[in-house]
Amino acid sequence: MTLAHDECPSCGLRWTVPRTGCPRCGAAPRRLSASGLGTVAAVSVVHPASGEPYVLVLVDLDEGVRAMGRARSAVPIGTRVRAGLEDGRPTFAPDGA
Amino acid sequence: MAITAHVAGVAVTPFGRQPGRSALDWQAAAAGAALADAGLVAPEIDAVICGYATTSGHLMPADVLAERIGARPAIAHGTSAGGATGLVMLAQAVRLVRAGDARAVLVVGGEDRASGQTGESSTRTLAQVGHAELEVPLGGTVPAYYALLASAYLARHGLAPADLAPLAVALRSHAVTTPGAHLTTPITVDDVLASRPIAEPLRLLDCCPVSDGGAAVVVTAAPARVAVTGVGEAHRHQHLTEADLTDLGARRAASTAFARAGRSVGDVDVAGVYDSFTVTLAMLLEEIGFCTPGTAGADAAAGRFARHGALPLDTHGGLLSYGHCGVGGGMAHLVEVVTQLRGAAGARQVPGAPRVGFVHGDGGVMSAHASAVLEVP
Repeated sequence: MTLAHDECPSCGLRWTVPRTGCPRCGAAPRRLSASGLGTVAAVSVVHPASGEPYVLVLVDLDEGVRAMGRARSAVPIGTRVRAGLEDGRPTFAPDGA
Repeated sequence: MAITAHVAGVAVTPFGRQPGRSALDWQAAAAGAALADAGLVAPEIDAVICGYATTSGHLMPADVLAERIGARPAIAHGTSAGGATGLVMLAQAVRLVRAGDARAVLVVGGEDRASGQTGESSTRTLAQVGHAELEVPLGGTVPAYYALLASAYLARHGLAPADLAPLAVALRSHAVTTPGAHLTTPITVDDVLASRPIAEPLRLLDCCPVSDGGAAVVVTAAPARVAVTGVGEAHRHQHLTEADLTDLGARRAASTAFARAGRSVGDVDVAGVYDSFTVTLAMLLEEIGFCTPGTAGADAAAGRFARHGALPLDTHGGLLSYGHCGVGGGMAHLVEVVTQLRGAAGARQVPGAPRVGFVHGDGGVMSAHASAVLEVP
Protein backbone atom coordinates (compact mmCIF):
# COMPACT_ATOMS: atom_id res chain seq x y z
CA MET A 1 0.00 0.00 0.00
CA THR A 2 1.03 3.62 -0.40
CA LEU A 3 1.14 6.04 2.52
CA ALA A 4 0.09 9.68 2.28
CA HIS A 5 2.39 12.50 3.27
CA ASP A 6 2.73 16.23 2.71
CA GLU A 7 5.36 18.20 0.82
CA CYS A 8 5.91 21.93 0.85
CA PRO A 9 5.97 23.17 -2.79
CA SER A 10 8.02 26.18 -1.70
CA CYS A 11 10.86 24.83 0.48
CA GLY A 12 10.58 21.08 -0.13
CA LEU A 13 10.08 20.05 3.52
CA ARG A 14 8.12 16.81 3.89
CA TRP A 15 6.10 15.45 6.80
CA THR A 16 3.42 12.86 7.58
CA VAL A 17 0.62 14.38 9.66
CA PRO A 18 -1.77 16.58 7.62
CA ARG A 19 -1.03 20.28 8.14
CA THR A 20 -2.53 23.41 6.64
CA GLY A 21 0.87 25.11 6.36
CA CYS A 22 4.56 24.28 6.19
CA PRO A 23 6.14 24.66 9.67
CA ARG A 24 9.34 26.03 8.11
CA CYS A 25 8.09 28.58 5.55
CA GLY A 26 4.31 28.74 5.93
CA ALA A 27 3.39 27.73 2.37
CA ALA A 28 0.33 25.58 1.69
CA PRO A 29 1.43 21.92 1.29
CA ARG A 30 0.49 19.38 -1.34
CA ARG A 31 -0.49 15.77 -0.53
CA LEU A 32 1.67 13.00 -2.02
CA SER A 33 1.80 9.23 -1.82
CA ALA A 34 4.81 7.39 -0.44
CA SER A 35 5.78 3.95 -1.72
CA GLY A 36 5.40 2.23 1.66
CA LEU A 37 9.05 1.12 1.64
CA GLY A 38 11.24 2.12 4.52
CA THR A 39 13.49 1.26 7.46
CA VAL A 40 12.37 0.46 11.02
CA ALA A 41 13.31 3.32 13.38
CA ALA A 42 11.53 2.15 16.56
CA VAL A 43 9.63 -0.94 17.67
CA SER A 44 7.55 -1.95 20.68
CA VAL A 45 5.63 -5.07 21.61
CA VAL A 46 2.62 -3.61 23.40
CA HIS A 47 0.92 -5.68 26.13
CA PRO A 48 -2.59 -4.28 26.63
CA ALA A 49 -4.47 -4.76 29.90
CA SER A 50 -6.80 -7.10 28.01
CA GLY A 51 -6.26 -8.81 24.66
CA GLU A 52 -3.24 -10.12 22.80
CA PRO A 53 0.10 -8.30 22.49
CA TYR A 54 0.72 -6.44 19.23
CA VAL A 55 3.70 -4.76 17.61
CA LEU A 56 3.94 -1.03 16.88
CA VAL A 57 6.71 0.44 14.74
CA LEU A 58 7.94 3.78 13.53
CA VAL A 59 9.26 3.49 9.99
CA ASP A 60 11.45 6.01 8.18
CA LEU A 61 9.97 5.88 4.69
CA ASP A 62 12.25 6.23 1.70
CA GLU A 63 10.54 9.54 0.85
CA GLY A 64 12.05 11.08 3.99
CA VAL A 65 9.02 11.03 6.30
CA ARG A 66 8.21 8.89 9.33
CA ALA A 67 5.10 6.73 9.70
CA MET A 68 3.62 4.73 12.55
CA GLY A 69 2.27 1.29 11.80
CA ARG A 70 1.66 -2.18 13.07
CA ALA A 71 4.19 -4.90 12.30
CA ARG A 72 3.58 -8.61 11.89
CA SER A 73 6.48 -9.40 14.21
CA ALA A 74 9.01 -7.59 16.41
CA VAL A 75 11.21 -6.53 13.49
CA PRO A 76 14.56 -5.17 14.68
CA ILE A 77 15.45 -1.50 14.22
CA GLY A 78 17.22 -1.07 10.87
CA THR A 79 15.15 -3.73 9.08
CA ARG A 80 13.97 -2.85 5.55
CA VAL A 81 10.17 -3.17 5.53
CA ARG A 82 7.21 -2.68 3.20
CA ALA A 83 3.71 -1.55 4.19
CA GLY A 84 0.62 -3.65 3.55
CA LEU A 85 -2.97 -3.22 4.69
CA GLU A 86 -4.16 -5.71 7.32
CA ASP A 87 -7.45 -5.32 9.19
CA GLY A 88 -7.62 -1.77 7.85
CA ARG A 89 -4.29 -0.80 9.42
CA PRO A 90 -0.96 -0.12 7.72
CA THR A 91 1.12 -3.14 8.71
CA PHE A 92 4.81 -3.52 7.95
CA ALA A 93 6.67 -6.72 7.15
CA PRO A 94 10.29 -7.30 6.08
CA ASP A 95 10.68 -6.33 2.42
CA GLY A 96 10.75 -9.40 0.19
CA ALA A 97 9.37 -11.67 2.92
CA MET B 1 11.98 48.83 38.20
CA ALA B 2 11.34 45.30 36.93
CA ILE B 3 9.06 43.15 39.07
CA THR B 4 10.44 39.79 40.19
CA ALA B 5 8.02 36.88 40.67
CA HIS B 6 8.36 34.80 43.83
CA VAL B 7 6.94 31.50 44.97
CA ALA B 8 5.36 32.44 48.29
CA GLY B 9 3.37 29.29 48.95
CA VAL B 10 3.55 25.63 47.97
CA ALA B 11 1.58 22.50 48.83
CA VAL B 12 1.32 18.93 47.69
CA THR B 13 -1.15 16.39 49.08
CA PRO B 14 -0.34 12.74 49.63
CA PHE B 15 -0.54 10.82 46.33
CA GLY B 16 -1.96 7.31 45.94
CA ARG B 17 -5.21 5.45 45.45
CA GLN B 18 -7.39 7.50 47.79
CA PRO B 19 -11.08 7.21 46.82
CA GLY B 20 -13.72 9.59 48.09
CA ARG B 21 -12.54 12.95 46.75
CA SER B 22 -13.37 14.52 43.38
CA ALA B 23 -10.89 16.40 41.19
CA LEU B 24 -12.28 19.68 42.57
CA ASP B 25 -11.85 18.38 46.12
CA TRP B 26 -8.16 17.66 45.46
CA GLN B 27 -7.66 21.04 43.81
CA ALA B 28 -9.33 22.85 46.72
CA ALA B 29 -7.32 20.91 49.29
CA ALA B 30 -4.02 21.75 47.60
CA ALA B 31 -5.06 25.38 47.02
CA GLY B 32 -6.01 25.87 50.66
CA ALA B 33 -2.72 24.44 51.86
CA ALA B 34 -0.66 26.58 49.47
CA LEU B 35 -2.54 29.74 50.50
CA ALA B 36 -1.94 28.92 54.15
CA ASP B 37 1.74 28.36 53.39
CA ALA B 38 1.86 31.79 51.72
CA GLY B 39 0.06 33.42 54.63
CA LEU B 40 -2.75 34.57 52.32
CA VAL B 41 -6.50 34.06 52.20
CA ALA B 42 -8.39 33.37 48.99
CA PRO B 43 -9.92 36.87 48.62
CA GLU B 44 -6.38 38.26 48.35
CA ILE B 45 -5.71 36.26 45.18
CA ASP B 46 -6.16 38.26 41.97
CA ALA B 47 -5.51 35.48 39.45
CA VAL B 48 -6.41 31.76 39.51
CA ILE B 49 -4.98 29.34 36.94
CA CYS B 50 -6.12 25.72 37.19
CA GLY B 51 -5.12 22.67 35.19
CA TYR B 52 -7.52 20.30 33.46
CA ALA B 53 -8.68 17.08 35.09
CA THR B 54 -9.47 14.09 32.85
CA THR B 55 -12.05 12.81 35.36
CA SER B 56 -13.92 16.10 35.48
CA GLY B 57 -13.66 17.68 32.05
CA HIS B 58 -15.18 20.89 33.46
CA LEU B 59 -15.28 23.74 30.94
CA MET B 60 -14.17 26.33 33.52
CA PRO B 61 -11.82 24.68 36.03
CA ALA B 62 -10.40 27.95 37.38
CA ASP B 63 -13.77 29.63 37.88
CA VAL B 64 -15.30 26.64 39.62
CA LEU B 65 -12.23 26.32 41.86
CA ALA B 66 -12.23 30.04 42.64
CA GLU B 67 -15.85 29.86 43.70
CA ARG B 68 -15.21 26.78 45.83
CA ILE B 69 -12.35 28.35 47.79
CA GLY B 70 -13.90 31.80 48.09
CA ALA B 71 -11.71 33.67 45.61
CA ARG B 72 -13.05 36.38 43.28
CA PRO B 73 -10.05 36.95 41.03
CA ALA B 74 -9.73 39.52 38.26
CA ILE B 75 -8.12 36.85 36.05
CA ALA B 76 -9.05 33.14 35.88
CA HIS B 77 -8.58 30.45 33.25
CA GLY B 78 -7.96 26.76 32.79
CA THR B 79 -4.85 25.37 31.12
CA SER B 80 -4.19 22.18 29.14
CA ALA B 81 -0.68 21.20 28.09
CA GLY B 82 -0.60 17.58 29.27
CA GLY B 83 2.15 16.83 31.77
CA ALA B 84 3.71 20.25 31.14
CA THR B 85 0.56 22.00 32.35
CA GLY B 86 1.87 22.77 35.85
CA LEU B 87 4.98 24.52 34.58
CA VAL B 88 3.12 26.20 31.72
CA MET B 89 0.78 27.62 34.38
CA LEU B 90 3.77 28.70 36.49
CA ALA B 91 5.27 30.45 33.46
CA GLN B 92 1.98 32.23 32.83
CA ALA B 93 1.73 33.26 36.50
CA VAL B 94 5.26 34.63 36.37
CA ARG B 95 4.43 36.63 33.23
CA LEU B 96 1.30 38.08 34.85
CA VAL B 97 3.29 39.15 37.89
CA ARG B 98 6.21 40.54 35.88
CA ALA B 99 3.81 42.52 33.70
CA GLY B 100 2.17 44.02 36.75
CA ASP B 101 -1.21 42.51 35.85
CA ALA B 102 -1.44 40.41 39.01
CA ARG B 103 0.22 40.51 42.42
CA ALA B 104 -0.84 37.10 43.77
CA VAL B 105 -1.53 34.19 41.42
CA LEU B 106 -2.83 30.81 42.57
CA VAL B 107 -1.74 27.89 40.35
CA VAL B 108 -3.46 24.55 40.97
CA GLY B 109 -3.63 20.96 39.70
CA GLY B 110 -5.52 18.08 41.25
CA GLU B 111 -7.41 14.99 40.14
CA ASP B 112 -8.90 11.71 41.30
CA ARG B 113 -7.09 10.15 38.36
CA ALA B 114 -6.71 6.72 40.00
CA SER B 115 -10.08 6.21 41.64
CA GLY B 116 -12.29 8.47 39.50
CA GLN B 117 -12.15 6.17 36.46
CA THR B 118 -11.12 2.66 35.44
CA GLY B 119 -7.55 1.95 34.37
CA GLU B 120 -8.73 1.17 30.83
CA SER B 121 -10.66 4.43 30.67
CA SER B 122 -7.59 6.35 31.83
CA THR B 123 -5.40 4.63 29.23
CA ARG B 124 -7.93 5.40 26.49
CA THR B 125 -8.24 9.06 27.49
CA LEU B 126 -4.49 9.62 27.66
CA ALA B 127 -3.91 7.79 24.34
CA GLN B 128 -5.73 10.67 22.61
CA VAL B 129 -2.52 12.72 22.74
CA GLY B 130 -1.74 10.52 19.73
CA HIS B 131 -3.02 11.28 16.23
CA ALA B 132 -6.71 10.41 15.89
CA GLU B 133 -6.29 8.83 12.42
CA LEU B 134 -2.63 7.88 12.13
CA GLU B 135 -1.66 6.67 15.64
CA VAL B 136 -4.54 5.94 18.02
CA PRO B 137 -6.33 3.43 15.70
CA LEU B 138 -3.12 1.39 15.53
CA GLY B 139 -3.35 0.73 19.25
CA GLY B 140 -1.26 3.70 20.31
CA THR B 141 -1.18 4.38 24.06
CA VAL B 142 1.02 6.71 26.06
CA PRO B 143 3.22 3.85 27.30
CA ALA B 144 3.46 2.58 23.70
CA TYR B 145 4.52 5.98 22.34
CA TYR B 146 7.23 6.27 25.01
CA ALA B 147 8.23 2.65 24.42
CA LEU B 148 8.87 3.50 20.78
CA LEU B 149 11.04 6.38 21.95
CA ALA B 150 12.80 4.02 24.37
CA SER B 151 13.56 1.47 21.66
CA ALA B 152 15.12 4.16 19.48
CA TYR B 153 17.01 5.61 22.45
CA LEU B 154 18.47 2.25 23.47
CA ALA B 155 19.42 1.39 19.88
CA ARG B 156 21.04 4.77 19.26
CA HIS B 157 23.26 4.44 22.30
CA GLY B 158 23.85 0.68 22.19
CA LEU B 159 22.13 0.22 25.55
CA ALA B 160 19.80 -2.38 27.09
CA PRO B 161 16.69 -1.94 29.28
CA ALA B 162 18.89 -2.60 32.32
CA ASP B 163 20.61 0.69 31.54
CA LEU B 164 17.40 2.70 32.13
CA ALA B 165 16.30 0.78 35.25
CA PRO B 166 18.67 2.60 37.67
CA LEU B 167 16.58 5.74 37.19
CA ALA B 168 13.52 3.95 38.62
CA VAL B 169 15.64 2.55 41.45
CA ALA B 170 17.07 5.97 42.34
CA LEU B 171 13.67 7.66 42.44
CA ARG B 172 12.18 4.87 44.51
CA SER B 173 14.99 5.29 47.02
CA HIS B 174 13.91 8.94 47.37
CA ALA B 175 10.24 8.04 47.86
CA VAL B 176 10.99 5.55 50.62
CA THR B 177 11.45 8.47 53.03
CA THR B 178 8.95 10.93 51.52
CA PRO B 179 5.70 11.30 53.48
CA GLY B 180 2.70 10.87 51.19
CA ALA B 181 4.53 8.98 48.41
CA HIS B 182 2.44 6.48 46.43
CA LEU B 183 5.13 3.77 46.13
CA THR B 184 7.62 3.32 48.97
CA THR B 185 8.95 -0.26 48.77
CA PRO B 186 12.64 -0.23 47.78
CA ILE B 187 13.37 -1.82 44.40
CA THR B 188 16.43 -3.08 42.52
CA VAL B 189 17.39 -3.17 38.86
CA ASP B 190 16.45 -6.87 38.87
CA ASP B 191 12.98 -5.97 40.18
CA VAL B 192 12.51 -3.53 37.30
CA LEU B 193 13.63 -6.12 34.73
CA ALA B 194 11.42 -8.82 36.30
CA SER B 195 8.29 -6.65 36.37
CA ARG B 196 5.67 -7.40 33.71
CA PRO B 197 6.11 -5.88 30.27
CA ILE B 198 3.78 -2.93 29.54
CA ALA B 199 5.10 -1.85 26.14
CA GLU B 200 8.55 -3.30 25.50
CA PRO B 201 11.21 -2.27 26.29
CA LEU B 202 9.27 -0.56 29.13
CA ARG B 203 8.14 -2.69 32.05
CA LEU B 204 5.78 -1.88 34.91
CA LEU B 205 8.50 -0.36 37.09
CA ASP B 206 9.70 1.83 34.20
CA CYS B 207 6.24 3.47 34.33
CA CYS B 208 4.76 5.87 36.87
CA PRO B 209 1.67 4.78 38.78
CA VAL B 210 -1.70 6.53 38.39
CA SER B 211 -2.60 8.40 41.58
CA ASP B 212 -5.15 10.65 43.26
CA GLY B 213 -3.88 13.94 44.68
CA GLY B 214 -3.17 17.59 44.07
CA ALA B 215 -0.57 20.33 44.24
CA ALA B 216 -0.64 24.12 44.25
CA VAL B 217 1.69 27.11 44.34
CA VAL B 218 1.17 30.82 44.97
CA VAL B 219 3.23 33.21 42.82
CA THR B 220 3.52 36.75 44.17
CA ALA B 221 5.07 40.11 43.41
CA ALA B 222 5.68 40.47 47.14
CA PRO B 223 9.10 39.15 48.13
CA ALA B 224 9.43 35.56 49.35
CA ARG B 225 12.41 33.32 50.00
CA VAL B 226 12.35 31.72 46.52
CA ALA B 227 12.31 33.80 43.33
CA VAL B 228 11.45 32.55 39.84
CA THR B 229 14.34 33.98 37.83
CA GLY B 230 13.55 32.37 34.48
CA VAL B 231 10.83 30.47 32.64
CA GLY B 232 10.78 29.05 29.13
CA GLU B 233 8.61 26.93 26.88
CA ALA B 234 8.87 25.10 23.58
CA HIS B 235 6.14 23.39 21.54
CA ARG B 236 7.69 21.68 18.48
CA HIS B 237 5.18 18.93 17.65
CA GLN B 238 2.14 17.19 19.06
CA HIS B 239 2.43 13.70 17.59
CA LEU B 240 5.31 11.27 17.91
CA THR B 241 5.28 10.76 14.16
CA GLU B 242 6.29 14.42 13.74
CA ALA B 243 8.85 14.54 16.57
CA ASP B 244 12.42 15.55 15.77
CA LEU B 245 14.24 13.26 18.18
CA THR B 246 17.31 15.51 18.08
CA ASP B 247 15.36 18.66 18.97
CA LEU B 248 12.25 17.78 20.99
CA GLY B 249 11.98 21.17 22.64
CA ALA B 250 13.39 20.43 26.10
CA ARG B 251 16.69 22.14 25.36
CA ARG B 252 14.93 25.18 23.89
CA ALA B 253 12.61 25.58 26.90
CA ALA B 254 15.46 25.16 29.38
CA SER B 255 17.77 27.48 27.45
CA THR B 256 15.16 30.22 27.49
CA ALA B 257 14.70 29.84 31.25
CA PHE B 258 18.44 29.69 31.94
CA ALA B 259 19.14 32.70 29.71
CA ARG B 260 16.51 34.78 31.45
CA ALA B 261 18.00 33.81 34.83
CA GLY B 262 21.58 34.31 33.70
CA ARG B 263 22.29 30.72 34.75
CA SER B 264 23.34 27.45 33.13
CA VAL B 265 22.94 23.75 33.88
CA GLY B 266 26.18 23.77 35.85
CA ASP B 267 24.72 26.22 38.37
CA VAL B 268 21.83 23.93 39.39
CA ASP B 269 21.94 22.65 42.98
CA VAL B 270 18.66 20.71 42.94
CA ALA B 271 16.43 19.65 40.03
CA GLY B 272 12.94 18.33 39.39
CA VAL B 273 12.60 16.82 35.92
CA TYR B 274 9.46 15.14 34.55
CA ASP B 275 9.70 11.36 34.74
CA SER B 276 6.53 9.69 33.49
CA PHE B 277 8.74 6.80 32.35
CA THR B 278 12.41 6.05 32.91
CA VAL B 279 13.10 6.90 29.27
CA THR B 280 11.32 10.26 29.64
CA LEU B 281 13.71 11.25 32.39
CA ALA B 282 16.78 10.00 30.52
CA MET B 283 15.89 11.84 27.31
CA LEU B 284 15.03 15.08 29.11
CA LEU B 285 18.17 15.08 31.25
CA GLU B 286 20.30 14.47 28.18
CA GLU B 287 18.63 16.97 25.85
CA ILE B 288 18.66 19.71 28.49
CA GLY B 289 22.35 19.01 29.07
CA PHE B 290 22.45 17.62 32.60
CA CYS B 291 23.85 14.30 31.28
CA THR B 292 25.99 13.21 28.37
CA PRO B 293 23.77 11.47 25.77
CA GLY B 294 23.24 7.82 26.70
CA THR B 295 24.51 8.14 30.27
CA ALA B 296 21.52 9.18 32.41
CA GLY B 297 20.98 5.64 33.67
CA ALA B 298 24.65 5.18 34.44
CA ASP B 299 24.62 8.49 36.32
CA ALA B 300 21.68 7.23 38.38
CA ALA B 301 23.49 3.96 39.12
CA ALA B 302 26.54 5.92 40.25
CA GLY B 303 24.49 7.90 42.76
CA ARG B 304 24.68 11.26 40.99
CA PHE B 305 20.96 11.95 41.59
CA ALA B 306 20.96 10.98 45.28
CA ARG B 307 20.27 13.66 47.89
CA HIS B 308 23.99 13.74 48.60
CA GLY B 309 24.90 13.35 44.93
CA ALA B 310 26.23 15.98 42.55
CA LEU B 311 22.75 16.67 41.11
CA PRO B 312 19.97 15.87 43.61
CA LEU B 313 17.03 15.02 41.33
CA ASP B 314 13.33 14.43 41.92
CA THR B 315 14.11 14.12 45.61
CA HIS B 316 10.45 13.49 46.51
CA GLY B 317 10.43 10.36 44.35
CA GLY B 318 9.12 11.88 41.11
CA LEU B 319 6.18 10.62 39.12
CA LEU B 320 7.77 7.18 39.13
CA SER B 321 7.39 6.79 42.91
CA TYR B 322 5.75 9.81 44.58
CA GLY B 323 3.07 9.22 41.95
CA HIS B 324 1.17 10.86 39.10
CA CYS B 325 -2.26 12.43 39.57
CA GLY B 326 -2.12 14.34 36.27
CA VAL B 327 -1.42 18.08 36.41
CA GLY B 328 -0.62 17.92 40.12
CA GLY B 329 1.94 15.19 39.44
CA GLY B 330 4.07 17.49 37.32
CA MET B 331 3.68 20.24 39.94
CA ALA B 332 5.01 18.06 42.76
CA HIS B 333 8.51 18.49 41.30
CA LEU B 334 8.09 22.27 41.59
CA VAL B 335 6.82 22.02 45.17
CA GLU B 336 9.76 19.78 46.08
CA VAL B 337 12.40 22.05 44.55
CA VAL B 338 10.94 25.10 46.34
CA THR B 339 10.86 23.12 49.59
CA GLN B 340 14.51 22.13 49.11
CA LEU B 341 15.52 25.73 48.34
CA ARG B 342 13.77 26.83 51.53
CA GLY B 343 15.79 24.26 53.47
CA ALA B 344 12.50 22.86 54.71
CA ALA B 345 12.66 19.29 53.39
CA GLY B 346 13.43 17.75 56.78
CA ALA B 347 14.88 14.25 56.50
CA ARG B 348 14.94 14.65 52.69
CA GLN B 349 16.89 17.91 52.78
CA VAL B 350 19.65 18.21 50.23
CA PRO B 351 22.83 19.22 52.06
CA GLY B 352 24.79 22.41 51.43
CA ALA B 353 21.91 24.92 51.41
CA PRO B 354 20.95 24.68 47.70
CA ARG B 355 20.37 28.10 46.11
CA VAL B 356 19.60 27.37 42.46
CA GLY B 357 16.79 25.02 41.44
CA PHE B 358 15.54 23.88 38.04
CA VAL B 359 12.21 22.29 37.13
CA HIS B 360 11.04 20.87 33.79
CA GLY B 361 7.72 19.46 32.61
CA ASP B 362 6.88 17.49 29.45
CA GLY B 363 3.41 17.03 28.00
CA GLY B 364 2.10 14.62 25.37
CA VAL B 365 4.86 12.60 23.75
CA MET B 366 7.76 14.97 24.42
CA SER B 367 5.42 17.51 22.80
CA ALA B 368 5.04 20.43 25.23
CA HIS B 369 8.03 21.59 27.26
CA ALA B 370 8.18 24.12 30.09
CA SER B 371 11.13 24.94 32.36
CA ALA B 372 11.73 27.21 35.32
CA VAL B 373 14.80 28.38 37.22
CA LEU B 374 14.19 29.14 40.90
CA GLU B 375 16.67 30.83 43.19
CA VAL B 376 17.26 31.90 46.74
CA PRO B 377 18.57 35.43 46.07
